[in-house]
Amino acid sequence: MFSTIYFFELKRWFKNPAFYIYVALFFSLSLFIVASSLGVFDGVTASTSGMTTINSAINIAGILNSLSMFIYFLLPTIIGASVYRDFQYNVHSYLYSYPITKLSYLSAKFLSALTIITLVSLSLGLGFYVAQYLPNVNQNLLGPNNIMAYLQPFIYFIIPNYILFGAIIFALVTFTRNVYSGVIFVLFLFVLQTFLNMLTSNMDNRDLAALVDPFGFEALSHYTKYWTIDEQNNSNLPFTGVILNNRLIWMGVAVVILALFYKSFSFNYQTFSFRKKGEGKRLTKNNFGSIINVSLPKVNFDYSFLSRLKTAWSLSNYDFKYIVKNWTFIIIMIVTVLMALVVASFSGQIYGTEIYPMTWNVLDTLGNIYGFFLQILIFLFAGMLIQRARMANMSNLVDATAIPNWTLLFSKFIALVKMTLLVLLISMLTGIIYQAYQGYYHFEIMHYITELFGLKMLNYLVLIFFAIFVQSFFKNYFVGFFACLVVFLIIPFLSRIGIEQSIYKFNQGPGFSYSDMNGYGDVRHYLYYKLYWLLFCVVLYIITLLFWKRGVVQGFKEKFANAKARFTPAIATAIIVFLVAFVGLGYAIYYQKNVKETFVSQNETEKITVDYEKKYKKYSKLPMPRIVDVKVDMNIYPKERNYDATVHYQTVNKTGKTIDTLFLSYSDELQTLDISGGFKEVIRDTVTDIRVLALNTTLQPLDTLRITSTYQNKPNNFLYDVSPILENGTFINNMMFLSIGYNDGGELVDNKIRQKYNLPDRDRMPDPTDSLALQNTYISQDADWINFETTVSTSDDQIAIAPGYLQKEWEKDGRRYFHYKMDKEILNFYSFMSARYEVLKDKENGVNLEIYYHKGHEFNLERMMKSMKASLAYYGSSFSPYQFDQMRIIEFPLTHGTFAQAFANTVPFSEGIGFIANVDDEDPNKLDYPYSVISHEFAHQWWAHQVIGAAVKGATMLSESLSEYSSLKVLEKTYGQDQMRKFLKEALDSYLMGRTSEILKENPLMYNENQQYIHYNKGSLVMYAMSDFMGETVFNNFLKEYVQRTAFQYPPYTTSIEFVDLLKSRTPDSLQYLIKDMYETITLYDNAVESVTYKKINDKKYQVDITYKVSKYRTDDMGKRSYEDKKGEGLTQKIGKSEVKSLPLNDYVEIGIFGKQKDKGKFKVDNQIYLAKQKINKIENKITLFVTEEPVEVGVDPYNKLIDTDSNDNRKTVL
Amino acid sequence: MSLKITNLTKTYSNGVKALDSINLEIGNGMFGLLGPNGAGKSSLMRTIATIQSPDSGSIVFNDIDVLNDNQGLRKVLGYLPQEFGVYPNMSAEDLLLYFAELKAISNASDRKKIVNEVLEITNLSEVRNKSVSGYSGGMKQRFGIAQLLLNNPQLIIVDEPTAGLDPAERHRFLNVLREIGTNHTVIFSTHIVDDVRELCNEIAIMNGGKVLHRGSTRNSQEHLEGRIWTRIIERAEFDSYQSKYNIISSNYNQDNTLNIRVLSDEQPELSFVSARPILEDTYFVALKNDRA
Repeated sequence: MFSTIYFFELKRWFKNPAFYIYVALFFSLSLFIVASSLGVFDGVTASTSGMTTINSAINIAGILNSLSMFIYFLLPTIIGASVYRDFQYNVHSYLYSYPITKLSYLSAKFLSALTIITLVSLSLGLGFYVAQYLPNVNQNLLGPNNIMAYLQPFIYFIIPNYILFGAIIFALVTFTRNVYSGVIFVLFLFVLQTFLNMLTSNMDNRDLAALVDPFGFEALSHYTKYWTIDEQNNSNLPFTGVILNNRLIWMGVAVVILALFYKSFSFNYQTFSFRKKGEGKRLTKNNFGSIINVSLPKVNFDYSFLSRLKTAWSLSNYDFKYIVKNWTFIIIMIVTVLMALVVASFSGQIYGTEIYPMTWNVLDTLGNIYGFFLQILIFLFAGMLIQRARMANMSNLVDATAIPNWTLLFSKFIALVKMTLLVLLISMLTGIIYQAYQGYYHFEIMHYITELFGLKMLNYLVLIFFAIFVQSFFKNYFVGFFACLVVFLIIPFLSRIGIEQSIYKFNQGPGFSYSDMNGYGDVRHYLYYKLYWLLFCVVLYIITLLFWKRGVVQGFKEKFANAKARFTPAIATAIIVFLVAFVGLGYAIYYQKNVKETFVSQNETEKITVDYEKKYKKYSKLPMPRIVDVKVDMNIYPKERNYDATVHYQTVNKTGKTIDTLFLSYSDELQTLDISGGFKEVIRDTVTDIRVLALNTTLQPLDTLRITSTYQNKPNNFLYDVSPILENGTFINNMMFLSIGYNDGGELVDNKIRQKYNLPDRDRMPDPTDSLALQNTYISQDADWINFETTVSTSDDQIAIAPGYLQKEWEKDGRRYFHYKMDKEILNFYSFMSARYEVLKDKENGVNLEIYYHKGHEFNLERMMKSMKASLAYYGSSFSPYQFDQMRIIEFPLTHGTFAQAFANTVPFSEGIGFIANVDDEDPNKLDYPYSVISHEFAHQWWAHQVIGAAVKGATMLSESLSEYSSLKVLEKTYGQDQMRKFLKEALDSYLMGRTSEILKENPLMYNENQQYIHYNKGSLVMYAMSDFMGETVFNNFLKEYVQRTAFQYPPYTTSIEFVDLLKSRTPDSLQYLIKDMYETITLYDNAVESVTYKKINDKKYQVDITYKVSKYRTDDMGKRSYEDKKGEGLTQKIGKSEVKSLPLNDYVEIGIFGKQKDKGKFKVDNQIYLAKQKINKIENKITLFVTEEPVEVGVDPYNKLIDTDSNDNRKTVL
Repeated sequence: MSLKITNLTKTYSNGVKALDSINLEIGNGMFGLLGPNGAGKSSLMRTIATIQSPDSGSIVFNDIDVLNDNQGLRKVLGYLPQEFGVYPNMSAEDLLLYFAELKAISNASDRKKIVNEVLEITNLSEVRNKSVSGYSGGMKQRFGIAQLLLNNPQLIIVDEPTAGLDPAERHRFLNVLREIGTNHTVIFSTHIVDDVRELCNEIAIMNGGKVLHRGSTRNSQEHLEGRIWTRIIERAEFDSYQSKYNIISSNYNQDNTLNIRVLSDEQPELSFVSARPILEDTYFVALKNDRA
């Protein structure tokens, strides 16, 4: 019996065109994605490159796993409906009376459906494989193909997950006799996935996190999360430990579900219902009729347009009620609200600290979740409403009434709009409740309304129009739903085949962003695009109306005939009007972006970059004058969002050679150029913004040349603001002014792409031994130290700020002027800011401390001020005196980003990176980052504005790593060690994660090429550890000496080599290995506590026996491990069954013992009862220690000061 | 008031010719459309009710060119399809209010008034708050009548409404129809000859997409006057009688003998007695002639 049903079902699928459509769809999806990753479309897009191979085991698993999730949407119809179908077609009424056993019936149904799903999913693997044989594939991205790498994801993850989720859906759909319960479950799975991602990333117990993920992805990532490039390319998929356990657990769950299902399934007619049956009532009807008179009352029939409109409105109420009472809707809404609340409480954390739930932030967080679900609801209910009458078999009644098509269609549209408004209202209430729950009572109702019911609603209107259009062409609204989803999934990929402009991609266009300072900014850019798509949607709507299904329609021919009959002049006019408006606006946008401005595709950008290097590289060797003095007159017009500026450079020929040619880069905002002595233009290249000028008078060594240039932004156009000026919160810097000399920062750095264009190999930065490169700082290529003076004007309600001391402030013609001047030379790096500021002023040791902030952002001003004072004190005494008499923190809007930047005595500071942080001083897991970011930026006044590295590898170690170290020390002084662990652990995680996505090669710290995960994350760990090992005072004295040697120096500028050499000379022999490990090479530990026991000797004495493992290895720039030093020496030791290897050890490792956690406010903090460094030279070490308190936890390197591959096994609870 | 159908033809995509050059003229009163299952009755009814379009032909009701002015007809149309469902979990009253809106009764109190009345007429007042999807077959058919009455239609089309009703329900239903039929045009399709005989003054007999017979109920019987003969035969004799005579119907008696009715201009055998023609004879004769 089993095989009869099984093969019958298979045959049925093989005859069903849907099966082949699914196979083709997923085959092409996989083919397309892999092909574009392999550079098949490079002819029309930017070159595809990377260090990882596309067909490595881990990458195959990653791509196949995520694509296989889309097939989940087929589970309800394929597996879920396999039994349900027999009910649907009423086969069950006789089928269940046949002599078949439950087991063979159910197992044949389930397994046949599973077979079909598996066959569909195999097309993903096939697509992946075939893509590699397409023309134009970049062979560099391909490694050797291993057939196991394709099979393993299916065996380990994809098929088991289909079994697990298939079993659940199988049971769900069969019991509820409703395929859509299965669909809801699939949606729930997607939510679960996001949710688990978030939860597990916040989970300290990674073993548990790996087990609870039913998808098994977390278990995989448990082993592969930190895989280096080399490991990603060459390692096989692991299938041990938590992965194996995870799979066993969840397959067990699947078996239990299937068994329970088998037990409770019976061949009968009654459907399973959640609702309690009402009390039965005997029902008899009146069987004795009577003769009646039919005299209908006179009523009015109103067929006018207005009355129809009213009808559409009231009909929509029926549909709206239907939606609201629908279980799909109710369940999705419940999930959405819960999800929103959970996500809101996790989001926006920086080092564990949240920001205050400002309305824009809540809108942003909730907007994503509600947006996702609302999109699902619109796609789904558009279909359900259109098919509603047909599904209820009532359409013949409805279609024979005198209701016009447009009224019916319009009523569905209104119902969907009402649903959308309801969901938005719920999201608004969720937001307000969340704010209130967080104790934040500043409810900006108008802000909610504007964004949700104004800006966002436009987008949902587009979705509604679109969904109605698509759904009206499908009989089965689930297929229509799927079609809508597919369209929206594909659109973002279009840029991969060279379609980059938004006007060609449905519902694409710029978004909008809000900042407390600048509001919605130039939101009209968004509005125009939405209007553009809405016009298109109206055309879609009319087409929907033309093809509206009324009555019994057979085939396309009749559909078209009907549409043709309905194509009245009025309809034709409407279509033409909206089509013209759509094309007209589209052309206006096109004209603005392609004719008035030049649109540069990614492909063209790449070629321009190549051209720049090929044409102008020769100028890099030419001597150029250097800027020594800068005066700027900057006028900012916030209301009009315009600026104009006059810039006076005084340059000097510091070379020993004569100069007769100037190589300048400047944008088309430059208006006039005046050079003392005059010039002739030799080359004018407006594509790369290059000018080569011949000077009329040759510049002799030490001669001065004055360059005066004026600037003005291009006029803002109807579509968007071209100008960088904001209405409130302008922040611009000197990058917009002309620069002198060839800039190699613009060159392509990926050598694989360079080879494609026949360019010689290069590194991202020159080597520290490159004497030519030592002539420039990494900040500026055309100046050393400059005198700076500026007058900035702005509107009378704003304050304008630039580096320097305020000399004079005055008002003229309703505008405010500020004259700033520096009394010392500074780097050629300055900014201009303007906004309606509130100011907080303070003074410490003769230094003016000021914070310019946005009204309403008072939360952390005290904290920031305290940080400035603490920083000033620590740096002034530890490194060198502060070179200025003032320090200013100036808030700028989120529109510009979430960062802070240190200019001389002036620090622009984003509103998003401290001003609105909700800091908890007591929670050791929540870092006071406003405090630490301020102290980091303040530290730059030393580490950049006093000591600045040459533009070579390692330069950012001297600025960023040292600033991180400085700020960590200030944080430690204020908050103690508790916050250090949180910081160091996150730094370690960021470093390990960062190196997994390195795009070229990982460098040792002292040779880093401006790689953030190295100079920030690894840098902070290394400097902190070095200081810890050497002693803070010794290390700071070394820094003091280094500052003395190098502060304010002229070329050749200092390098990391000078830094490390000095460090070596101040480091005792026993610690020299640290410099090699941490600065000169990429060295990692793998430390762990193996076992621990303790004995109580008496109340004041406990004996603790610890066995711990220390292993150390180096990696090359691809992350390939090596356990032998250059001499070929290494250690090996057997621990348990496995053999552990290590580099030779002669290292100090910290051992800590902790007692019962202490209370600090409402939080528990470490109670350290022993901490000391032990010198070890073996892999496995045993130590016996005596402590005075009962030990609870022990750790090897318990504070994660060393770079450790797995920081989670460093501590172990004492048993 | 009259409905005039000319040369109406419809072929389905599976090749079945559902309507084959139908010509019909239907006046006031009850009009019965008689035919076996699959005769094309429903296709014809759907086409008149504007929810299916024909390949060719024309339909004119009073001054309304139905095929070109669907909406015009729908305003005066009441249609009860052969099979229909309703939105689940909605009461009769709510559904009728809904249909009243569809039928352009713009005033809320008007809607209330007429819904009350049609509920009364169809004797559904007591169960007005019960959900229609839970109604029995007869109640549901009455609901169908209730909804079609809402716009006070001049042309009423009911497609096999009595199929599956119990005798009491069927009577009640036919009474309601008769009452409505007095001042409207009612087209009533059925394969039950009795329905037509009781109710209709005009009939047409259809099969294979063609109208085989058209006339008044009385005429249709009268034109067979003297040509219907009947007798009782044994079961075993049936085949020989069938080959000799034009048997138009036969039915069993309790003792397993057969009554046969034969169409013949003269008395076929002495054993046959002349029978008064009934409508059923007309029906079978029409079908039989069509086959020949």
